[in-house]
Amino acid sequence: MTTATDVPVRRRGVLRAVLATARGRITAGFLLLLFACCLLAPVIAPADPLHQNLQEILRTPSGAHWLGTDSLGRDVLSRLLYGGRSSIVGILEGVAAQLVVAVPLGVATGYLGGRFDRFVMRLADIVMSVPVIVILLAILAIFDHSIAAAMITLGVLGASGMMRIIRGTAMTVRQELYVSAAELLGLSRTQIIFRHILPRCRGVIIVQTSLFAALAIGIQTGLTFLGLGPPPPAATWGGMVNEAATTLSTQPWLLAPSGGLIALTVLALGVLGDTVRDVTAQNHTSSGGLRVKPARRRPDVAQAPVPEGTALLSVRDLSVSFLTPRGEVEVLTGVGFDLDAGQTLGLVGESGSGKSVTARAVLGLLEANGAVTGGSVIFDGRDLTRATRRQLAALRGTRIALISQEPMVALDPSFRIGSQLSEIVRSHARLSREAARRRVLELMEMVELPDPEEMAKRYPFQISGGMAQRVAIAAALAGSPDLLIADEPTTALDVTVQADVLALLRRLQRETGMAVLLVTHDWGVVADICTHVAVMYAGQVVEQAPVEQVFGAPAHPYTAALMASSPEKAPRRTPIDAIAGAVPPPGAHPDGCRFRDRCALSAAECADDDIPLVRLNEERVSRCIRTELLQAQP
Amino acid sequence: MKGTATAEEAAELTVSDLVVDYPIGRRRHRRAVDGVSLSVPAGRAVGLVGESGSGKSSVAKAVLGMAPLSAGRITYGTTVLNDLRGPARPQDIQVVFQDPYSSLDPTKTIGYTLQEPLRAHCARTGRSLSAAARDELVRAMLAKVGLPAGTAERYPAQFSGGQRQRISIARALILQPRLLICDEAVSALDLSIQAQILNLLLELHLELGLSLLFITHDLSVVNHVAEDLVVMFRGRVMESGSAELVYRQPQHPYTRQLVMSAPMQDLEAQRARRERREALALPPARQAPLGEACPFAHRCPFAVDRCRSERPLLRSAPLGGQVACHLAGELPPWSDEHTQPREATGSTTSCP
Amino acid sequence: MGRLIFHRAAMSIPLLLIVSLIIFGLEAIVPGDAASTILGQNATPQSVAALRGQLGLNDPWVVRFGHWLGGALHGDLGTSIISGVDVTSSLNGRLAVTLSLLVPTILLSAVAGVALGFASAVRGGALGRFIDVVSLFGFALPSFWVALILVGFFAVHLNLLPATGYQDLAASPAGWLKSIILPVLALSLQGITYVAKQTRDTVMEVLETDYVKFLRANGVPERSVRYRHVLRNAAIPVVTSLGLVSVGMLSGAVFIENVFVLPGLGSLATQATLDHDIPVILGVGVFFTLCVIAINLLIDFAYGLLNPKVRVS
Repeated sequence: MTTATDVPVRRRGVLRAVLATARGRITAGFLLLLFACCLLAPVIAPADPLHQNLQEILRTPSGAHWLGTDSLGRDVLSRLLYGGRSSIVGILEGVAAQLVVAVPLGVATGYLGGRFDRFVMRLADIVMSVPVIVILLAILAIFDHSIAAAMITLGVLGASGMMRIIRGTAMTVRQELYVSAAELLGLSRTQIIFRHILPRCRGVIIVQTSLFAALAIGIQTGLTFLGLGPPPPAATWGGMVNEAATTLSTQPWLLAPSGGLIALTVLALGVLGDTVRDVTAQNHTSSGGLRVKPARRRPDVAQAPVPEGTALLSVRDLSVSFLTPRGEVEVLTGVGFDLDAGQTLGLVGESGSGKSVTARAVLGLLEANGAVTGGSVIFDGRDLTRATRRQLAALRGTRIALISQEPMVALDPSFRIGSQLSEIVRSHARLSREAARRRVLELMEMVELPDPEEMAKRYPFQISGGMAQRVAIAAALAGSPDLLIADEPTTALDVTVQADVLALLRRLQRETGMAVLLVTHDWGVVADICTHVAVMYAGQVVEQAPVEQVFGAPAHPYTAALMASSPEKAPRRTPIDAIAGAVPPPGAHPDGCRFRDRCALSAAECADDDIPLVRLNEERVSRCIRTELLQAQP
Repeated sequence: MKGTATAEEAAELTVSDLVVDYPIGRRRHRRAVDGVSLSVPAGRAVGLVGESGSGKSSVAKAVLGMAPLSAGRITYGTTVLNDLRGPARPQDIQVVFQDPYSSLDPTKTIGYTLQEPLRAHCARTGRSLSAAARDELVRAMLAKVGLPAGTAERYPAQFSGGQRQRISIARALILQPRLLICDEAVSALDLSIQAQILNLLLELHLELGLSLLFITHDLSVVNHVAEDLVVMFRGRVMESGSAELVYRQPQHPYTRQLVMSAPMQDLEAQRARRERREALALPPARQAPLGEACPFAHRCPFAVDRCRSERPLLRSAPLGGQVACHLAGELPPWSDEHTQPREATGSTTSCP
Repeated sequence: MGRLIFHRAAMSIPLLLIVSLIIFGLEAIVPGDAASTILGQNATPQSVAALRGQLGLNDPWVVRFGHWLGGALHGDLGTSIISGVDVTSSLNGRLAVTLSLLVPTILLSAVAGVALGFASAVRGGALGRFIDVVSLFGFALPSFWVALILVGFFAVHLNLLPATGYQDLAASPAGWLKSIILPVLALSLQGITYVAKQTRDTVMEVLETDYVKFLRANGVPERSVRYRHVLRNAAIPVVTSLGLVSVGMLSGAVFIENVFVLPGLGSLATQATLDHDIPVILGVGVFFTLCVIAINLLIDFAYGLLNPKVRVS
């Protein structure tokens, strides 16, 4: 699932995208309403905020006083509206000061880097450690309780945090290749900053601004609560909480309107910031940044009969769906193949074909938003799709093991190699520390790691990719599994290292007799190590056969076309026989044969119905109804 | 596309004795390129091949002014490129990068991305180009790389990797450069898409007379495109010469190992390669520090004492081309029938 | 590792300088000074001038800063312009109160925050959503207001705990505990929820990494995956967030000390602010800065233990 799907969603502005969400509308609406009401306080407030009425003190809400009255009989609602003005002005002052400092510095340090960046960052480190509250108190003492001065100071001091984050974003964007391309096309630095860097920082700036505004409200109300703001008769939110505190035992209600409104405002700002973050994350990643619940297994119409075959692994009619932001998408449809002990089955396909999903489904390790919706995975006579979590866990490592594509990230960076291997060894068998250590060294020698004693003391980041893959293989073989699932095990490696690792796998397989399910996109790797091939296209197996038959004469047009796309197969410096178009994304497959749009042999009947797997001989199937035409070709 | 840009004659790109050091930490640095020389004559396709850490991409970065030069000289025609940065650089050299996702600004339409260089170019040269003329240029360029005209109004998120790579190529070509650097430009693509993009690049190269510096780790790809090959290992050139020769008659033990390691899409051929390779395989060894030694000595089945104490210089090889090996000419002869030119055997596929 | 800590320790000197310089510099550029503040609005120019001379305010501010700095290096932070009391000794007496508030709060935030965040990330479902909602409220509710609600319920309504005041730990451990329970609860609400949220996010991220999948796929028991590998790798970002929240707690402590009338540094600083008593504020600034430095050193130390890259290089 590495490709972006080609669903035509127009990019929207951040603001419009935020307002498209319910959270965004509610919080932005609330904040706007609050701002407007406080701004218009002189017009809409029901009473004079300073007007005392000692006949009507400490009243609970009523028609005359919607939020009650305080200890001097003043209307609470009116005081809240007037008090909000100073809070809002405070936020605006703080936010403005922060933006003025943080945005230019953040963008400049992030994009330009160098000595200037180091100097500013050193300074920012120091400022981050300044105890802000003491500076604010000093400011209030020196500037005679000027909240404005305090909020501006808060903005300047708080700018270091925002600057850091903008800098980080700008640095990431600077690494993007389109910035390099713009530089090569002769754009000046200023142009690049304004056209390419700043637009990408917009999201984090809005997020940080709303979070800072929330913090500023907390500080502003806190300072007025301490009585460090405008002197008493004036209404402030913090001051109102303080007044409520004096009547805590007689009229606790008074705490509710002032504290509640502060909390609501902070909450709205915080949620708004989160919403902006989610929305901008979605705009820049294909996955949509969504964590979604798994799709449910489809209720079986009829219990699939366990086939009488004796294969070690037998995948039957396996379907897998993922729940995406655009709904449930089926990425595997009726996938099936068999694998016997000692065999190596190559699962071949391009990205989007579903080959890696198949491998993970066999292991029962699909992502959180994916689930098996039908079919079975029969391993040694047992259906793994129906096994409990505990049963699956018992199989892993001892019966089925995995090595994956990126050896460097497959090892836990916090533990030494020896300790990781030892843990895996000891989770398969009760061994003493010393016995486990010996077994680890034995495993490391088995995968031809040079100098095992010394290697065991290293951390994963201290070894090369090829060595890391050997460690991963050692880990996978620790429990002597019957089936090894290798998901693109050499794709991230250099060719000379790849050849070494393939040679190692071949030797180990010969020695142990295990079966290997090898996911790859490389026909050369298939030719090197596989005994059988299953070719996948758009979530289906389109052909399965022993390698000799597939390389000899492909029985599915896609297999033939994919093989012909290799530059090896065309004379030098002449056009390669390329397949037009691209693999359709999951959920957008054409009816009938999924390959027919790109197929040279397609005919009207290819669109009619789902194409079944056609058995060509004892060991060979093809999902093509015109396969004899292909065989007839020279 | 006629008469809009300066249709200058293509020139030769020359890199001589290039050294690139990247700082790590405060005082230390890592030498990525160690005395590399190569040239891309006008209109020619030169392949630069090597594994990770070979320094091949650093050579590209140095040519593009994106890497620090410690020594050496890079010229394009009569222009010395060494210290030129930003807008001062000639626009005749452009690049297509590996990652199609990071190559396009997600916040800008394709039309904007393609027009931006035109606008910058006009501003620099003081020439004016109407919006309609710019639109027309963009449309023509999109057609040239095989994308529909409606592409201009859409955003990068709406395109697949292969389509994005076409857009990157369109952007690189819009100022009519004479030399295109392809830095692993097809490595991230699926096989069928890779074939499409290779066809497009070849067509542009042959049709427009565009020079290509084609950088990749994939021997089969580079052998398909390039006329000349340069093989790099650990920052140094191991072997160079015509692609036919280097691929078919490798004279450096490293090049031989590279060729033997690349798996072939053919059972018989691959079995032969594998057996050859295994016959020469050494147990895995730690990489020795670079110094006055052959960088390949620790992995070379033919290495003698001299290889570990004296750095072999690039010199003319017996069969043609150049090779940096003390034992050049003394190695056992190489015959790999499966790397023979396919024009000769010619029966493996049917090309319509 | 050692270098990192040395680096951080070396940075504390400019940090102290900057904090005091900001306060001194601002005081110097603003019209009006301590003398007129002390004597009030009805003072005669003569008496103000006399007091200025007495306080040494006629010197240029750089000279006064030099004096103060010289004293500070010897542990003398000057005297309060209101009470004339030695600042260092009055701060020393109050430090224990503030630490009694801060240390339990930080510990509670760390333990409860990590436990809640980890449990919600691993269990997911209702607990996860609950943590999300609670952390929003923890973020939104002002601590001084929460403190008042706690007082209203536990002290006024239930009469279980004292509403205000502080008991010395040495004099009466039980009294001390009673006097800090409500303040610590009020102050740690934000810390717990912030740490819980960060822990939850980080743990969920680590659970998705390749190495966790690899360990699971190769038979490492789930218990070990969670408590050994996930917890260990999530620890670094969590420790960072704990450091941030601990520094932020100094602000909260000022508000909370005022609500509960605890005789700590925060309430002293507040009173000093109302009195325009700059030497006292400066003194509190020095003490708070030392607290920040101590927190940062502890965080760096934790990094060194947790991150092999730091430890190895």
